[in-house]
Amino acid sequence: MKNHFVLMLIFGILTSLVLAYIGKSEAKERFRYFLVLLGSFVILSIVAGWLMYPFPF
Amino acid sequence: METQPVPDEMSGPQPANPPVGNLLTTAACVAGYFIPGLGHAVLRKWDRAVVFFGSITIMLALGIKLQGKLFNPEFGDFFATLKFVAQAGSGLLYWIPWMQGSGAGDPTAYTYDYANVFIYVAGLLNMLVVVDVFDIALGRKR
Repeated sequence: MKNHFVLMLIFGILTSLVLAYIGKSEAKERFRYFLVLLGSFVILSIVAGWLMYPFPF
Repeated sequence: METQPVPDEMSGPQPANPPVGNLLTTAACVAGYFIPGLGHAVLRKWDRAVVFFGSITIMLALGIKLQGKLFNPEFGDFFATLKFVAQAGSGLLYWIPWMQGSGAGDPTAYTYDYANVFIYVAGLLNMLVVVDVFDIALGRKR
């Protein structure tokens, strides 16, 4: 398992799941919070990756 | 006709849950540290218990499988101490593999850094889970 995107996705899913269950009490709220967190993980990681792309280190 | 006074227990803000006793609070927090989700199981929050146990166990197991390193309890270097504290937050999921000698880590492995992040975050999430158990036991959360 060497695909960084898949690993990031697994990390995002598991972390968002735990944070959604800690942060929200209702099922509908949890689901929305989970999706927001997961989307933030994935999109911000890709954006940060592209922003760091020109740096040589 | 006289108006009836509002009973005291109805006037103030109501706790989300009735608080459990000090002994059960302590037992739930300690159990939740050693085995992720067990504290919620003690408080009969079964759905949270299953999710926390499953997620944190998978994260830590993946971290070890992807050549991550379980850091030893060393307190000489500040960052080494932080790494150890973060990882040790997983409770027995950290201590059992550490005592068995697994989790040696391979810094040349392609997934080494990712694996370490999985192990750190598993421990840090379990610390949050213990705080959640504490809040539920005190009646601050549902």
